[in-house]
Amino acid sequence: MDILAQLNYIFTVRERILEGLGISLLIAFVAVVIGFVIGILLAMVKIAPKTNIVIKIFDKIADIYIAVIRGTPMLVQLLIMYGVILVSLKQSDTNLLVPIISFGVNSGAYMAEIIRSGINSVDKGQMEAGRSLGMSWVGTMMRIVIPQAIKVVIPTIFNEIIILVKETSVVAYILLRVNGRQVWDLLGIAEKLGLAVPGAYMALIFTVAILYLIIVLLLTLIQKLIEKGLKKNEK
Amino acid sequence: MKNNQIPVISVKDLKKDFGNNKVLRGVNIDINKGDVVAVIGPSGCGKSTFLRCLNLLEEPTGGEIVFNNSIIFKMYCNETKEQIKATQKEIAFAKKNGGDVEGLTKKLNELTALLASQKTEEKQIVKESKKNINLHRQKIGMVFQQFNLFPHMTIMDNITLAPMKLKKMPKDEAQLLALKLLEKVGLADRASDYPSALSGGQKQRVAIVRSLAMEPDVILFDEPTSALDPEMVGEVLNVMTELARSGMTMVVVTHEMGFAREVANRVIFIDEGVIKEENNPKDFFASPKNPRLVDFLSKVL
Ligand SMILES: Nc1ncnc2c1ncn2[C@@H]1O[C@H](COP(=O)(O)OP(=O)(O)OP(=O)(O)O)[C@@H](O)[C@H]1O
Ligand SMILES: [Mg+2]
Repeated sequence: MDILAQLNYIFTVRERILEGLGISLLIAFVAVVIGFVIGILLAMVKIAPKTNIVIKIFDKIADIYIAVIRGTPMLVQLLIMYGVILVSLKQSDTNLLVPIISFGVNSGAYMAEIIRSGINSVDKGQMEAGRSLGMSWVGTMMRIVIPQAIKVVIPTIFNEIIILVKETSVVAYILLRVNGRQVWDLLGIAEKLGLAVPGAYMALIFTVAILYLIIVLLLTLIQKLIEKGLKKNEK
Repeated sequence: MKNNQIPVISVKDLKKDFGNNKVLRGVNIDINKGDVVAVIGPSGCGKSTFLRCLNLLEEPTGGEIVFNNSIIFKMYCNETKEQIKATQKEIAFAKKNGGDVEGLTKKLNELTALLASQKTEEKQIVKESKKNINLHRQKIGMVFQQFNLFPHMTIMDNITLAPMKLKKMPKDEAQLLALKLLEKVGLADRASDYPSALSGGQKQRVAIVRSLAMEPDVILFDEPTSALDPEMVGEVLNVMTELARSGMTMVVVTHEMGFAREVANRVIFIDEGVIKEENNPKDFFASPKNPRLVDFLSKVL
């Protein structure tokens, strides 16, 4: 295949590639949201004063969760979720929830550590000021401390999002279905299409690389815009 | 004028340890409506700790705090525990060397029974107080050395946040109140600014307004002018003086002896974990009795 033939082939299969891209982004986007929520909850558990037994138990659970997730490879977690934990989801007609939950749960552990360090960077006096006005611990966290913490951790959060977006490419290891039809993520569909026609493989892999690069550049742009917006807010 | 009225805050035998560091060793004071109490003492003597115990930002380890007639803290069981330990030692000693073992054992049993009843009562009070502490704190304002304004909110939002969220005050009403209060401290034109645009003195005036917006029964000040450049101290003290004249109950930890002398109606000297001396400002400064206070005053005046 010469380069023109390769480009032509990619053009003819563009819709399937874009569908793969859509699947990848959908998984990544929802997983980021789940990860963020889990991250905030875990960080709050880790930071809450350990005054009663319930919070102590949650604290231990959070420790174990973070240790397990950070201590094992993402792909292994995905395969375990697919094969053991989310079996009932796996068998449904649309099983995208399997990778979404897997990546969300994974991201949550990392987000927790990031958000915790952000919360710790906020001056202790902020919590005290909120509490002395009569606000609850959770209320002060949500309204006063976390908004300031987020500002500090935006760069690290985006780093985590970017890693997650790229890491979703390991989802090609499991079978995905939407409404009973098999679907592929970006890398998965590229490999399938690349192997279907002799000489097309590398062209498709390059296409994947370029698409991921574009996504990451876009994310970086969004990060810069958010940082700029937040800065303006403060002056 | 002050007979028979209940104190705003009543403190009995207040104790606070940080591990082995016994910071407060039994502080007793009744703070009445309209009182302006200046708290002075050497650095590290526990002035901030005392103040922070009053709204339970710091959890005391013993004693009792009553705010507006409700007990917000009560704990005597730690002392009883210590007494039990001491009695056990005495019994062991008496057994070895001869002594009133029987009497001591009886005392021990009494103490053990007392501890059990204290524990039940105090557990109940702690539970009750945990439930209500946020409501009490709405009525106990606090102004910090470092201002602690919320940097991600405008001055207006800093002030209206608590009244809107906690008292469910409608937004326009809260903003009107904020503007009225800001006007009093000469900062009405800064309402839409962020704290970072203000000078230290302005920030502290906003912090005072923020606590005033909750219409508290008492405001606690922890060295409100210590972080300020000298030229800004006056503007904050002026606001506090106005506040005192308007009848606000205030407890003010301060190094400003001028303020203690001119504005406060009571001055207390904390040292070695207790109130070593208390008097009206005139006599407090003119004829201090405690030798450590005499020494302290000779250094700061
Ligand atoms: N959170 C804490 N943990 C351990 N020790 C503490 C804590 N807060 C205060 N202390 C100790 O308690 C003692 C009294 O501190 P505190 O801040 O109340 O003194 P202070 O009279 O306000 O002093 P200053 O005039 O310097 O503000 C000090 O020895 C301090 O080290
Ligand atoms: Mg202090």
